[in-house]
Amino acid sequence: MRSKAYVGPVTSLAFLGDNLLAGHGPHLKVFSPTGSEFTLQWRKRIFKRERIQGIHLGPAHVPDGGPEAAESHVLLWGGKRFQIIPRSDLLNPHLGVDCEDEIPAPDWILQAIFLHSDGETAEVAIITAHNTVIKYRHDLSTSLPRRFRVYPSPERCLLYSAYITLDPTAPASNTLIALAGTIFGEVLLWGLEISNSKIEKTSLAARYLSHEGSVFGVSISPELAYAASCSDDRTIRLWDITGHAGDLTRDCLEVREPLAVGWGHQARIWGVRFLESSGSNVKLISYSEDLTAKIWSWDRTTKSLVCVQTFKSLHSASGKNIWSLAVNSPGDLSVTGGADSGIASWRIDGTTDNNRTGQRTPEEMPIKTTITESVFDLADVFPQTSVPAGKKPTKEEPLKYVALGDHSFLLTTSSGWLRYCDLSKPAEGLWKDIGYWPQTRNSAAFGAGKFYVDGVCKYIVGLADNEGKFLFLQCNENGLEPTPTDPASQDWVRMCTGRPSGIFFAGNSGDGSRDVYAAVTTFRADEPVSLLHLTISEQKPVIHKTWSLEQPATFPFTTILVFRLHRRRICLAGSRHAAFAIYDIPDESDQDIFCPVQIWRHIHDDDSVTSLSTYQQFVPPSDANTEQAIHIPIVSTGRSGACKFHKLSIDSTYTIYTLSEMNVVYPAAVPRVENCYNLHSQADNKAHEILSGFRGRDFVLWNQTLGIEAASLDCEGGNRSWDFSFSNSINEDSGLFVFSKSKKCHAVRFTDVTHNPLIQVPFHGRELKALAVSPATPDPSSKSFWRIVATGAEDTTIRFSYIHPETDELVPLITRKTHTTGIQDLVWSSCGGWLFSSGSIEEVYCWKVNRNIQISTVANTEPDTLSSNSVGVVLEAMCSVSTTSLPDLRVCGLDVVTVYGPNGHLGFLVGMVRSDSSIKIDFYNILAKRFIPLAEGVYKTSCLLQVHFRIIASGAVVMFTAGTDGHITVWDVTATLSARGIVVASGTLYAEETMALAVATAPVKFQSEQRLLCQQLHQNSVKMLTVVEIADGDLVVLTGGDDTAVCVSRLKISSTQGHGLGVEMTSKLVERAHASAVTTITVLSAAEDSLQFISAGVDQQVKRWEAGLVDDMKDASIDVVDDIYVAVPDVASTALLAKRDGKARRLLVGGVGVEILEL
Amino acid sequence: MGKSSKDKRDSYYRLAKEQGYRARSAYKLLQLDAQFNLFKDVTRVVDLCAAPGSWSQVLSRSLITKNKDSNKDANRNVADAAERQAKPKVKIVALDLQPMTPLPGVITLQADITHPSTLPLVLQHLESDSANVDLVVSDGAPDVTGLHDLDEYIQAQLLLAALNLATCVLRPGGNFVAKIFRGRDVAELYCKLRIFFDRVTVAKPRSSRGSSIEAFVVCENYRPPPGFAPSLERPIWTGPTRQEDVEGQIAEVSLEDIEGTPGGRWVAPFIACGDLSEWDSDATYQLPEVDENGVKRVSRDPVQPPTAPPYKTAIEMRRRQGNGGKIGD
Repeated sequence: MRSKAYVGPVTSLAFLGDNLLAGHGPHLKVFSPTGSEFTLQWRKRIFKRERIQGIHLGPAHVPDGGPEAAESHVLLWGGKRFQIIPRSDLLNPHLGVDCEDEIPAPDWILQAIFLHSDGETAEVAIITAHNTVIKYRHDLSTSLPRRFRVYPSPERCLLYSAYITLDPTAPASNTLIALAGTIFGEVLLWGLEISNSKIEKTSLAARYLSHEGSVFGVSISPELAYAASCSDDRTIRLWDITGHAGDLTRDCLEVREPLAVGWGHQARIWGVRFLESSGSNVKLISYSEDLTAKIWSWDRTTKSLVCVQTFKSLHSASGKNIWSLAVNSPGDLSVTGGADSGIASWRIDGTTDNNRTGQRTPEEMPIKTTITESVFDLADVFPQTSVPAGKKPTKEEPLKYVALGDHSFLLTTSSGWLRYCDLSKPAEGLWKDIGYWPQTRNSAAFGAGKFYVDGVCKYIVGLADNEGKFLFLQCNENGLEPTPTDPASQDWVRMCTGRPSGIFFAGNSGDGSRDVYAAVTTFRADEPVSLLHLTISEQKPVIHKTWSLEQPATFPFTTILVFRLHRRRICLAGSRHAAFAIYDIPDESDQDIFCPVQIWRHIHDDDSVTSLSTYQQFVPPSDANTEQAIHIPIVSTGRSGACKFHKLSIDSTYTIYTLSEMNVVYPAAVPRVENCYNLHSQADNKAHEILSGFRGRDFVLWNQTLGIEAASLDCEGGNRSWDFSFSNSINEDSGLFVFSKSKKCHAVRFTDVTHNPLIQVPFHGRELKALAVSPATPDPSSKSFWRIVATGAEDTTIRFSYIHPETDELVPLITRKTHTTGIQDLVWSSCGGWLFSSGSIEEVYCWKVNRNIQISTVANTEPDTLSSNSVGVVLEAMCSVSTTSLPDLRVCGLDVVTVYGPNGHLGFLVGMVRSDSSIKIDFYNILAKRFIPLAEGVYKTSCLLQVHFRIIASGAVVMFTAGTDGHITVWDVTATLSARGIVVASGTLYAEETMALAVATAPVKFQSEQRLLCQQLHQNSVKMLTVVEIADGDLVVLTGGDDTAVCVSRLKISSTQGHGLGVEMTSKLVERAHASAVTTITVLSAAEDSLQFISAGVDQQVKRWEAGLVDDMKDASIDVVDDIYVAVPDVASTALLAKRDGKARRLLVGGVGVEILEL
Repeated sequence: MGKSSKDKRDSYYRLAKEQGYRARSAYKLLQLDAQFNLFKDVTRVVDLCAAPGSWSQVLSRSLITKNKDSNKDANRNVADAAERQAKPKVKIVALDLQPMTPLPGVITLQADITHPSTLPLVLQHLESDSANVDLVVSDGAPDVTGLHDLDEYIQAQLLLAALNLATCVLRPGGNFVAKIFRGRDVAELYCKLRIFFDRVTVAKPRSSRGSSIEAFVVCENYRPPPGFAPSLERPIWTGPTRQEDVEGQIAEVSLEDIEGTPGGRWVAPFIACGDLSEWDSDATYQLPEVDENGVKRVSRDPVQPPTAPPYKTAIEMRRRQGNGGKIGD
């Protein structure tokens, strides 16, 4: 077994010039800036077992040393190990570092520095967790113990943190200054003469006492004026240490008053650093368990540290802990490393080059998404010039907006003006009048539709008066297109009899056509909606055709989408009440009015559908190909907070319309989604899915691809007049948001929206509890070969990832955070189409997992990688909750077996075992999309952890359960299932379709005589139970226990005459198989007489075993054949994955992180 | 989570309140005693990292109160009286850095178990000038940070600090019980303990959650290696204090070929203790609405409120500033 890849906490970070060094588990990673992003150059294993907890760079090469100058080094440490690497090697991808060269230290290292790092004999000072300083001379010719020198400690106590530095105030001094944070909340400052002389001088200089909890981080300012400490008590404290250190003869001071205290972190603070300490200003940066990093400024008058900037939301939202932080040397960029494996970059405010705005050279990195807001009071822009005599001047207020690309917009005003603003123009030329039509005063119907001419985007703008007449104008980003006639004298066309309530232009149908469609609605529910087909003729907009669409009951239109198919148009409409309606409009039809051919209600709960579009280019089938069903990819957004990806399927006769959900996203950051865009980012050459919407007072742009908020702006909420659009040019990721606030017009430009601040993508923010790989499909050549790794964690999220075929890295695809409790178990259906998940408070969910959701009309090409939108996940159903009186009722174990009907898949048998010792068996009906209770029962009173079904050769169904009492129980559930209509047919479960729909029957209760066997195998918790069938139909049960044992049991299940089933079991218990609890077992192969399996435990060992299978397992031989350490604490789950060629295999080991092993 | 729902989730939490223990961990020691008969013939016992004091409560009830109760038993009475005459009075010394509410029959000392001055203090309260303690127990654990290697290291240091003190006070043949985290390096700890004790067992009481990494090492029959000189000035395995220590601190302790451990380090045998009929700390229980007397069950208050957390002031600050309990950015 060999380690191939790792995902887990980032425990150390350091900048080496522009490059970033990251300690990721035992691996060192080097990232270099390329273009606008940091890219991984290489990674190397530094330690055998330790994580890299600290990185220290020796002083840079001194140029006047000439070519002979000795080389500087880099120091890396973790636990009781360290390594010294020549600095020049660090940027060399063929770095010859070997984890076998790690150097053992005599104690746990908290901080280490070079005393000097030139030449072959670098010298290092180490401060340990026992407040002891040890010097190490890197002279490989002397024996290891002789390379160390131990100095006496002024006070031996346990530390959580320490900082050492050579006294910089006295150059070439041998005085080492140490600052120590103890587990009991004290901060100790002490000095040490670190010369080679025999006389050892050490003294405690000061004791800083005011923290109310363990001190997790300490730091000293470069010129020894200040010290900072941070603690369990959620505070940062700043101390004056001027003159305290350095003099080893003074008595120990006791300081109880810090210079300043900083409050603001919501959880423990792990580290603090000085950003600035010169002159009057002191600035600190801290990082915390609460997933934020904060910058603090010292306010002398209030004796406080004021938080001036907070970095948040780039690490896994429901996780914990930023473990590491580094600031680059200009001091304008900081990076944080999380428990979630993520590395995020942040711009520090107030640094000199941070104030650059607007234009930048192409080589410059986009520093972040920038937001520029302009506010216009129309009364100032357009002073009232002509007021008709005798009339009161009308107050000029913005009314409705149409954003045209990313820098210009149109605006109607309360008084009847149509105005144009171009933000790219100089201040005096920003605004232009387009026309003044008093009859449009306060009209709500104003909108625009896009069309393309030779790839250039243009608009048809529709504007209504209050009597139902419309004016259509052609414009582009630069304003009104010149037309043969003066716009003022254009024709107003009557579209409806009363005052129109709105004009809704169709969203982008993706076909790049010049056609523009719009729906005109009125305030009368019984009046049909007019669907307009607009084109440009003789350089002006004309209505090509009009149809009347009947409005279904309670169906106020909010948005439409129109497709041109074979000799017809299909119009899909969304309503204010969450519904979709579809209209089929054949070209030849002479109908007066069209009724919807299909209506779907509650697509977005009961909330407004805000947009409809296609999520990929839709190419209608050619006219020759009219026999095939048509599949149209549709994305809809709603105020329900969802963005849904649908597949609309239409049969060849245009009579059957089906709508299926392929992927559903509820981004927590955007509870009211308004639209979904696909932007192409130049930086990473990838498509980014951006959702726009509102959260409370904020307008939010959410980058669904990166899983982060791109930008947000306080606009005082979404219930106002506003419009948003992105740039029309394909490679621009800037957008324009225009809105009214306090009767003023606000125009906000967002640039670099797809800027990716993530250097390494985040994974679970807390430990994994379950890991399941989707089953292999029979056809490895199909796209669905890609096996999906589902992981569930204590952070309540389920993540879907895949293993990259070349790098073996785990690549995240999508995340679902619907569970409100930590995930307990995950099980795939045997077809890989469904995933079942369980948590506490009886949460059991069924997820539909859709592959290849990109509906391709081109040749079936194999993707090189999966992208986030090639897998869709929809929460299909939740299991009903049986009690509210047990708030902690955990569903600890799940098992799922496919049930077939006469026409294939009917559903699944779902077994659930729970912490109150109860067992539940439900049937999951895939047509009805619901759980139907079949049977229930109770084991004893102890917590159950495992459940497993097995269909045996005789046609019986047995269920295995195991729990905290160490017993394994075998139940005969054949009769229980057949009582509910599920029988065994040719080795699978079978039921009639009618049965599947029978709901009303009360669940069958288990009887105690159904227990075929109840036998203790382990002393306490059975952490793992797996069952395999060996050649002659016998079963082998493998269990792993908290008692450190692995047990291999052989079961013979036979039908006894008239008495149901008989079970014989013999077991072999391997005690002390691991040094601690055995949490997972994975079977590699099973034959008639032998078995290969892998066990893993909390001791972080993964062991490969070979077992001989004999009739009486007591005599069996079970031996370890391979053993490897993994950098994953708290191992909770493992899974096997076959590589594409079917030969190479990978073992995924999940716990605090994931390690991928090659077998 | 409210008191009542915690009662259902955690049966030992509820039991501790009902039986007057300061913490649920009392049951861990009771179950360890039931398995190993730890309190047999014990008259001098030291409880390390004792606060809030539930183990001292168990010791006090088992070693002092129990003797008084058994006076009612005529047969035992004679034996007890003889025993009490033959043996000196029971001495229980409890140490912690945190202050601890006094307990009857328990000498509570606020002291650092690693500090050399603690040893004479303990001996003085034991009214002894030699190492004659029968049992040393330690339930100490750090507040875990979430960095597993660091947490396991700190816990191991607490255990080794307790071991160092134990080597100074235990009589030959005495016993030592301490909390241990069964993590990646636990086998090295087992080996270290095995050097000092005839029998080392790792025990998991049923009152300790299955999902928790904690267990207890029960080390029986103290028998230090020949020539070993216990000292808190020069403690072993807790980092070097002088140059001579370096070699030993770099070397890893491993005991091979003891009791045929398959490959690598020796692993202590495991015992789950506490009867299966006892409460399962991982199970969720539906509690009856009324007790056996038909009185509506009420959730009791804890015997002792939990010690003030280090972030208590931070919470007060937030409350004062309002803002929904959060400090503005």
